Amino acid sequence: MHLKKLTVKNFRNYYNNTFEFCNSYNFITGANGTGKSNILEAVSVLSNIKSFRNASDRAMIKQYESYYYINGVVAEDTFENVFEAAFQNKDKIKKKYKINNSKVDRLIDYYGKFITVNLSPTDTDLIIGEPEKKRRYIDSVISKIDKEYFKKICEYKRILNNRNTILKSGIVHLKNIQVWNELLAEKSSYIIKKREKFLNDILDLFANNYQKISNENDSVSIKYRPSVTGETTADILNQIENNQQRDKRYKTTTLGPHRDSYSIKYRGVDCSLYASNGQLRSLSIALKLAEKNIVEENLNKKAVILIDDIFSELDRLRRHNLIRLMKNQNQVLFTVPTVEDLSISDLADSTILNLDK
Amino acid sequence: MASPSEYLDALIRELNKLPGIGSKSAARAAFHLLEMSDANVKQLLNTIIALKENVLECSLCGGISDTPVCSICTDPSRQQQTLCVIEDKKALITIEKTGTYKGIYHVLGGVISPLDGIGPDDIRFPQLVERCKSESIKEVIMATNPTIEGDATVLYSLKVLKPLGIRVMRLARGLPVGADIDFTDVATISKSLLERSEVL
Repeated sequence: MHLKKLTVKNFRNYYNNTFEFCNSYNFITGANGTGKSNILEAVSVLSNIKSFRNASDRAMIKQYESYYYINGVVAEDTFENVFEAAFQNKDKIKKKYKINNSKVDRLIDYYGKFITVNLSPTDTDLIIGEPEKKRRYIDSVISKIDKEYFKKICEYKRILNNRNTILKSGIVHLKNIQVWNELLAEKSSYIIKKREKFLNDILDLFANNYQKISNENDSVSIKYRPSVTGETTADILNQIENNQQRDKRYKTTTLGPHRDSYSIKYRGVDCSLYASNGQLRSLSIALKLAEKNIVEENLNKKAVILIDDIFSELDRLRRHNLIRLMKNQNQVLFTVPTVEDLSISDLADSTILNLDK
Repeated sequence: MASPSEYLDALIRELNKLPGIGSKSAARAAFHLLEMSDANVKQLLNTIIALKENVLECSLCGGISDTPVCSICTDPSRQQQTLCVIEDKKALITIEKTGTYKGIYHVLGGVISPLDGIGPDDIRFPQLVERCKSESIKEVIMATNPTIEGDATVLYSLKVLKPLGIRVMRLARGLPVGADIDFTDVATISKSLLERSEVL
């Protein structure tokens, strides 16, 4: 699939603008503060419901305005779909999504229809960042390809909140907490299995992509670090129950998928210790491209790739490799200050959108 | 927005408080009441007042009743060994409509939901345990909604009632009657497969 046309109203610095994109490489250029990344952000909101910069909907509305509106025409094989996202912050807060002019009531029916993968400066958080960011990332990717997972995660959070409320109250009746232990164990077992499988599936793709970008043969690996382990729901329940005294002391649930993480090793050592900025950048790109591979394979569609200003940390060889890796594969939207910075020789059939004028 | 009549506005506001009645429906009903004959309006009012004055909560099952103990609880043809546990009074009417259930009921008046500050003692759960101990109940059918909190209530009942030698059941989950498999969500289909039943 590829994005043909994007219209934004009252979004960030845009009042009412329409941009057209070609099917291969699109370079959005301009000086700092001209709104290059804002275009990618609008695309990411349209595709993923959320901003990749983690901005709130309110923050994305143009100053002094009360709503934003995004419209994208997405071409797929022989047909076109129109996606619309709108947020209103006047009287009542309202968020609305439409596909081909019909309103989508449940986000689950919208998420994963227009697929994008975005590469941005904050991606290194997925390599060495806090576990929470890592978890949110794998949950968002698995949810894209597995709707059931999305539901289970929501249910899990609800059970967890209920259990934590009991723990917080300080009055913990054995039978009462047991109920929530069992519900928690059942969902945990499902979530852990799915995460395990996902990280296993992504492992080879990740290592492979890293080699293609860096031309290195160094080993890289990604490993799931669940906070509870066990083949069966009963095993997990056992651990949750054994941990109950601790939970009571801390007044919160200290074990479970909400405490999981994964670790990435480079040459057999944890990356947070030794990797350079450039290496972290390459690793994060390899991970995002592995996400692209797996999402495309599962949904049987090509993703649109959004690349936000990540070239500064890459050497010439790696830039070259990255650009070659996606050539003739996907539509790519890049933000760069000037095209000359890229030192790419072959710019044929690319579109350049200069915001400086 | 205000109409030339304060009285009309007041009535619309009151009707608007009812569940499922938005401001437009409320206005429609209010105008209709204005057109109705005095006798009909009085009859409606009297019916509402009579409802509030006469309908009681059955002291046994907690359902609605015109007498201290409801007609279902006192019906000798009802099986006294089977007890159907429901969330609210309205669910009783819904299940009665099926005509297939021949046992008695117990209305919980809610489900266990720590997030809303509702524990087992905040609903009619202690009464349920008491009934199971004092009456000749052998089987309890948990007919709470299939939500997280509904499920928690089922699990809790199992923990408390099973040691009393009571068989705890819950409603089957799966395809609704007349549904189309293609339009059914995955969770429902997988439940239907797990709880499949033999064709007899």
